[in-house]
Amino acid sequence: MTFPITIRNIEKSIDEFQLNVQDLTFEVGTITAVVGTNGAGKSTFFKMLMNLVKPDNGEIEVFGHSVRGEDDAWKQQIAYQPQTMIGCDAFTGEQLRNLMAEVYPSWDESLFRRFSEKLNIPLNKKVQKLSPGVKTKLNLALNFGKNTPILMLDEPTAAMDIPSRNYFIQFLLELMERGDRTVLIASHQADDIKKLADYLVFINKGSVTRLLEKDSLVSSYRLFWLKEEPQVSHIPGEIKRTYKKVILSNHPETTMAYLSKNGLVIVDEQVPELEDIIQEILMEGEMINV
Amino acid sequence: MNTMRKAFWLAKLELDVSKKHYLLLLFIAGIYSFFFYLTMPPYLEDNIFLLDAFLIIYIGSLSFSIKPKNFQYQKMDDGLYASPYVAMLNQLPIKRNVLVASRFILPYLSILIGITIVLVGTYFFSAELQSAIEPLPMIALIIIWLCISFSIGGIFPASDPGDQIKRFTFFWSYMIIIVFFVGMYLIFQVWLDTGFFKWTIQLANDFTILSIIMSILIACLVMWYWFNHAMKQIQKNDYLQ
Repeated sequence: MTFPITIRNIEKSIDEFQLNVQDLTFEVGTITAVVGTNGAGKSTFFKMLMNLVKPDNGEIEVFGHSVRGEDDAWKQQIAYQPQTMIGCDAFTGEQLRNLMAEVYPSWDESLFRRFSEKLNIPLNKKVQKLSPGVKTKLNLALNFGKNTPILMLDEPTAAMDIPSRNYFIQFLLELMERGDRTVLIASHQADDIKKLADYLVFINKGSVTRLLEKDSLVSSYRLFWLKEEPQVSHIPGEIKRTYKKVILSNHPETTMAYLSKNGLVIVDEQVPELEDIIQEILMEGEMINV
Repeated sequence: MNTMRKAFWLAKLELDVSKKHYLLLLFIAGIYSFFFYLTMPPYLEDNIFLLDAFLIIYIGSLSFSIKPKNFQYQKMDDGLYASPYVAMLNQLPIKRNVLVASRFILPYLSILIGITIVLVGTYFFSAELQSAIEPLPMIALIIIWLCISFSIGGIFPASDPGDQIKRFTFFWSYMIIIVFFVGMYLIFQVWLDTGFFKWTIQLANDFTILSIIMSILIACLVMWYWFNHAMKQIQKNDYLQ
């Protein structure tokens, strides 16, 4: 089976920074959130997928075609939105639309018009005169218009207002209904990840985890509210303790077994918020092995 | 053929946003024509080096005077200097040879316009130049200078995909420019006791056909080198921005 994107052991060193990605495949019909702190390597990871940054080792394939090959036709399969819109300032939205419609055979005018009209994007203004938020909206409209099987969005909602962000989420989910697209999205917005992502990939100091199913990840964590403060400093499975009696565990069964064996009463048990789990993973550097 | 059609399409898109820069080109060409008209009589008599130097500077400025700031070679990140526009185009499904070919079209168009205006203008107004060269060899002279300009001016579109700039890169670039001008002075003014432009007038007069053929051949070789350099750079560079 040919996957939209296949990665095999890629490595890249840039000055002191090193990015390593083991085998990773992204399946059709899924949205994967690429999550990491600032400078973790998310953008570099995307740029490597686009062959804008060349890996030192390893292989990246888009629908079975190596991105390092002489033929760049695989780029017709990907709409890539970088964090910043470079090289476009002198053009208007309409001129950029003409460019994209010319180079993407899959260009869908109705998708472009629907998104840009709904968000009132001024297509006759030069990009340099647009606010950062409107630039992002225009960039999204252009990328939706490309109508490609793969969509890679690097922090697409960072500068957007709340209604536009909600419309973007709704629009993307509607596009996903056809089931033939693969989306990679780098985001710091826990809400976006919660609403959109099927899978998560964490990047921490250049190391990339395997693909983690969002629901499995969330359910593998548990918050235990205890009646009394445990006398030991660390309980099996515990990764964090707050208010002395609240234990966050990434091995709930092990933790529960210990608590029960030692007569520690659980007052309440909750599945933590995704945002809290992400915070824990990113801030405490706990890389996932679930 | 399809490559050139697509390259011209991209160049036309770029032309749409750089039209006003062509007015600047006409203005610069007018000023240089006037300057060459004024300096041609003493140059033809005493080989003033200034005219040769300004002619080279003019050729160099033609390629980038027509580019909006966003299209010009500039700092992209810590090490890379490139044209942001080329970095953007490189994200799109555009064949590398189309992308690179498109970079040469507008600079060469501006060279074609700029050199033709200056040489024809100077010839039209300067009786001294008219007496130094007949109309037919003058056509050869224009072709020679177009070929020189394409060869020198090709460095700018060839640089658009970018270069990794290290600590002393700019220092060595300036040194090369200085060595070029010093070399030109030593070869023509000191050794041959003539001016560069005056030397090409002699070539056009004495070897009209041969000088045309040789100029075109050399220009083709140099342009081929610039094209391949740009192709290599686009495959080699890391576009981190």
